[in-house]
Amino acid sequence: MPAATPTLTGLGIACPLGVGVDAFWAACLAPPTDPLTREPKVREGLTPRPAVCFPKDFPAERYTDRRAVRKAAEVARLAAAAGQLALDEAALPDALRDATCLVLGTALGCSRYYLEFHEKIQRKGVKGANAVLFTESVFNAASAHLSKIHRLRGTAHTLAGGEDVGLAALAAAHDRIRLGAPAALAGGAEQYADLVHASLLHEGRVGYALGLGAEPVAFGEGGAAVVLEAEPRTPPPAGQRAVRLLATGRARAGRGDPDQALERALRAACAQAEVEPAAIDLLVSGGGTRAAVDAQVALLTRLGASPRTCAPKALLGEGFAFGSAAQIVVAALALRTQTLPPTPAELSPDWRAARAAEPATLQLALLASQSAHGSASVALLACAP
Amino acid sequence: MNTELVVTGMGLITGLARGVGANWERLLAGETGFSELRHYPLDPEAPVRSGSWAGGDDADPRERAHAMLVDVCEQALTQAGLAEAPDPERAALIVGSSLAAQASAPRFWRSLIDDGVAEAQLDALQSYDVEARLADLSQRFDLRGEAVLVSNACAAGASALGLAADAIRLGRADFALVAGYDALDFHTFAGFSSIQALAAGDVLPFSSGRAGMKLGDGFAALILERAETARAAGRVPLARLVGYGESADAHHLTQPHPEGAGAALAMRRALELAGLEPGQIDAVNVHATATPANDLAEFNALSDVFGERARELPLVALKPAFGHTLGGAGAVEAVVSLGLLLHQQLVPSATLGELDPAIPAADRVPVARAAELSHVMSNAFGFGGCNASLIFGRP
Repeated sequence: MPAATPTLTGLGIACPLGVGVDAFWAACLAPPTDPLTREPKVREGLTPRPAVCFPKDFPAERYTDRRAVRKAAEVARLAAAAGQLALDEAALPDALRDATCLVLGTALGCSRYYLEFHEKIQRKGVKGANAVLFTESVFNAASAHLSKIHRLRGTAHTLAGGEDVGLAALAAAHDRIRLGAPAALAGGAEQYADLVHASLLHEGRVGYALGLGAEPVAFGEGGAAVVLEAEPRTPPPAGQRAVRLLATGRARAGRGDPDQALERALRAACAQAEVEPAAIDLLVSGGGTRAAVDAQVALLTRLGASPRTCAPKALLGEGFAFGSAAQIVVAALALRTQTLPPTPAELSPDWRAARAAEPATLQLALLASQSAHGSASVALLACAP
Repeated sequence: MNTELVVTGMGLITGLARGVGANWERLLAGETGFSELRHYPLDPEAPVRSGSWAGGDDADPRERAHAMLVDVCEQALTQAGLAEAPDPERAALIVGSSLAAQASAPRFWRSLIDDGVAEAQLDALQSYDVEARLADLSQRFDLRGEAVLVSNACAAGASALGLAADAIRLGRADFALVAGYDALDFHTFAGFSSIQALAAGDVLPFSSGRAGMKLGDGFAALILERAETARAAGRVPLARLVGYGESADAHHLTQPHPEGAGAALAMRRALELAGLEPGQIDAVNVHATATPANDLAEFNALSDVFGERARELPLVALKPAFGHTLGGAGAVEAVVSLGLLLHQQLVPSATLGELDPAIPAADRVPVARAAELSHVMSNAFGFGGCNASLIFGRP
């Protein structure tokens, strides 16, 4: 099977840090000095906790088909906006859309609608069931909206998993291209919901504050998507480098060590790309704590690499599928613009991170993300020759 | 398809029975597995009160579902002569489910409603459930390759087989434990009630009086392997997966494309990958939810792909027997489709009405009969316009 290396021809992102790659990247390079977290409105009786979320419902209708997203859940609205922005940049012709695949990741799905639906039926029985809340809270509602808005008629998959499921979506999209699809839209999205947030805090999956310390970072919502094309039709934006997806790798710990799963995923991706790990010069880490990023840096160091490092969760929060999909956008923008964004955290001396945005010569980026339950996903992005 | 893929093990639980053999016997006899649902707070006057329940305690629906999922995985591994993955790092775990993390959490909701949100038992909400369940399966069976849950509604079980096939064809795995499941749950029962898709009476596929579906528990697992790996290890192929195809309708969130355009596209893609002509398909396990829109769209799609032959092709409809198993359906009905090939028999539609006059003619298999079957197609279509078609062949 040929190792196809599709080009990333479209990037889209919608999150509190910025909507659209220009605003997002500007904020990544010069992070706002105001606190990124806010205390969202919660139901009476629930203690407000900080999260990186929009103050009100995300205005998706500004970015995509107003009618299509009118009743959609927030996660679908975020995914639809991110997908629209990515497709706008790619400007896919109609002829490609029949065979264009769509893979979206989400760990938590349409949680707010789901909770509203469920609370109604628990209180009132079947007669409390609301058809809109039900149909819009099905896990694949977001991909259904996207395929309908953009007439994408290839495979449409929604993947559910952990923190790395946005990269799993990228890997599945890459598979489709390796198996003959001309293009794919891949990404991930998560939305804020008060009870889910409380549950995640309870489970220790998210923390209260940003900055990569010992505790997990705050919950973060958003949507991110990229368009992959087997054969690029358009040049990259003026002054920017074209970026290709060389390979992806995925593994589980099973009964083994989770860090070995990451190493196996990395080695598999490097073998597929026919590159040595030592050639990796940028790590875009999906770690949500300093220890998690440390472990990824240590692995690469052991394999002979000395990469520049950035950890977007320090800004974006723990966004699960969104977080790992946002890694793709950050890595692609870093390669396109040859700029390393800062990681505004108390840095470990072992990281080669930037304290302020700086120009850098970057050729091969590793995106690494691990779930709390032993799943590891990686991707290798490179500047086109 | 250049890579030969075989199924070497299967597991099945439905409201009819536990086990592949027990299900086969009851399907062949044309039995149904519906009973009154006593677990849910249903209004005594509610028109629909039944489903196909496979047993177990519903106090924690997620635990009930997971226990049955583990059960079918163990059945499949046992049939393949394995206790766990033969080469863990080359073994993938691909699961399909629509409900997945959305199952009811009654303990949480009871505490929320009775005691207020401050006292609600958040541990029972388990907002991060899918990942934990995948981790449990991968540890239990020591599967160290990729593991993922695909949740594209009622096509999910079939999509899981397609994703597993992708992983093997692309050389990332030699072996995959593939599962599809959804448990009967108050969430989906109430949801499908709200869109008026549930039938009070019999499930009547392609019939003039069809009024919808009944829901059922459905859990299935299949061992999908590279043929050479299976044969080298002495595992007996039960059937080959020779083709699969998927598509999106890009039409409507809940309604199928009326002409079945997306469904036809999925069937054509499966045929193309298999290198087969429509005339080489000997029977189709139809999705056939028995809702007015879905059945007509599916028959339109069959007519588009198979032409006049759609009127004679045996159409096996399983939902009258054990209900619509939602995200499990693609895998559950794939297991039965393999049974058709293995036994060279067609199982009947357990309940039927008069053929919809909009359908000129159809062989809906009213009674069980022997048939010479080389290739069987199995369809699964879902919300969001997801369509998946699988084609199995004799080993």
